[in-house]
Amino acid sequence: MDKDIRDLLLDDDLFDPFDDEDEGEAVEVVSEDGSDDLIGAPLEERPQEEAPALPPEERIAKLLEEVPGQKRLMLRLVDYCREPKTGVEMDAYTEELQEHCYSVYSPVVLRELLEGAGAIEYLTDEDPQDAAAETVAASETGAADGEAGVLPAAAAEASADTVDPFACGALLVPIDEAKVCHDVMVEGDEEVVLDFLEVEERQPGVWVATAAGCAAVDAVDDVADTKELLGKEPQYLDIYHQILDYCAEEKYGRSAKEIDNLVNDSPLLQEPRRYSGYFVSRLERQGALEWQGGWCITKAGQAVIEDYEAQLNKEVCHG
Amino acid sequence: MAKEINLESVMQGRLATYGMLARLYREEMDAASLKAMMAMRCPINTGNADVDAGYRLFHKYLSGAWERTLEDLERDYLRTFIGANTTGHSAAYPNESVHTSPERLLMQDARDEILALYRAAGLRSLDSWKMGEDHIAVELEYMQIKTLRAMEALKKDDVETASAEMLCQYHFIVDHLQGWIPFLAQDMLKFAETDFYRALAYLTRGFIEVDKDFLENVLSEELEAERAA
Repeated sequence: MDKDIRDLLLDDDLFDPFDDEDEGEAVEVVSEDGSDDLIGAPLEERPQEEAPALPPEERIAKLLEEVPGQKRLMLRLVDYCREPKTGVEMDAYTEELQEHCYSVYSPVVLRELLEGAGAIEYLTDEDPQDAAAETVAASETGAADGEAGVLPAAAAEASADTVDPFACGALLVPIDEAKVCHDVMVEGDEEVVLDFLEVEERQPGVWVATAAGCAAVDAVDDVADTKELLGKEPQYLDIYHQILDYCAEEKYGRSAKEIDNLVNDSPLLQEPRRYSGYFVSRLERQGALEWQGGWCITKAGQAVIEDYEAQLNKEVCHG
Repeated sequence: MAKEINLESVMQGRLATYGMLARLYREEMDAASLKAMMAMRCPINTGNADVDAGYRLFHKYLSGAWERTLEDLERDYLRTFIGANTTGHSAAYPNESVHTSPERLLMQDARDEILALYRAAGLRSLDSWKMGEDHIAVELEYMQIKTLRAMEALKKDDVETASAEMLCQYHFIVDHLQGWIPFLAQDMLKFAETDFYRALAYLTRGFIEVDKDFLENVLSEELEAERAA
């Protein structure tokens, strides 16, 4: 006769939900190394070392590298606010750009990323035009981002001398009595005055590209980048140009399927096996193609085609 | 003509405050709630230091609101109430059980007691609510509903029902809210990074104190009778 499986188990191993042997006893578990990073115990608060702040040029480059899919959109946003733009204008422009470039980032978050990288800044001065003009002027003269905000040495020293680090007012400031509203109420026979503060809406500021942001936009050379890409893969030069020409022929762009049909059967792509997506994604990254509901040629892509044709004509003439 | 401070106006204020607090704890801020908060008048010199600090901080934070305020508040809500790990000490956990059970776990005795109170009042949480019945937002909404019931009874001159409802509120504060909200507020002050949620911590702690004092005054006879019995 087969044994009952329960006979094979030790009593101690069986879980009995009604067993109240340990009831009331606090379960205390201590890890081997003596640390108590278990549920119910606070983690040791370790001071985090602050990474040294990178200059804005490096932060911008890092940001664009981290979100390659949003690189062009971000650069266009920076370019858009060379002239000061309100949040509403930036929202509208971002949504326009996102029509064919879906992003999980909201317009506000995109601006936050750009601001964090030092590509744009929010100006709330009473006269933001002057500050904005300074920023743009600095960008035009090629000054570094940090320099735009640096005080002359004498001024910096003077301000350091006049600041009292122990002065009050760091956290608490007197209530501006002019802003306090009073309500007279009646409680029984007495008049009671209740004081209130009303929230005042902050005057919205404007977004302006920083010198480093403008420099990042200016540094982009899609034509040169595309030519460099084509130069790196000369065996696929014909494929790249077939795709560029094909997309240039149709104003509304070409579907992925159409480009598949164009090149996927080419003998050049059989070994190693490549598909059209490989080329399209590279051309897009270099700014030669963009998705507008179909793959469309960009100005840079068009310039590459024209340069290539001119080069071919030159070779024919010389030949 | 000056407005009158009477039981009805005080009850109206209590109803609005419980409603606002419950909403602020229930979920992240949205545009409609922020707009409503911006229109709020912040009383100063109320006589309770925490309430004053709360309103002052709300006023300060909301006066600086800008396009990123909603994003900041959404993040701070998650940081303050949910946290980033599971040690039981990584956030200001908004459930009573966490603060009243030795192992800081959810769904402990406090939740069972609360559930019984809701049932006794003919209330149940919505099926869509998954955060537990002892979540502070639900407890504050319970207080809001009880205030509303008391007000409705007062309108009908049903003083007995109104007193019973307010007595329930008083005991709920003493047995539950007062027992854990100071700890929650302390954690909120530790984890929140915006003045908005710090303000909420101060205001909640202060308002519960103020409301308990108010109920004690209004219900002095009933409480006396209870003690005698």
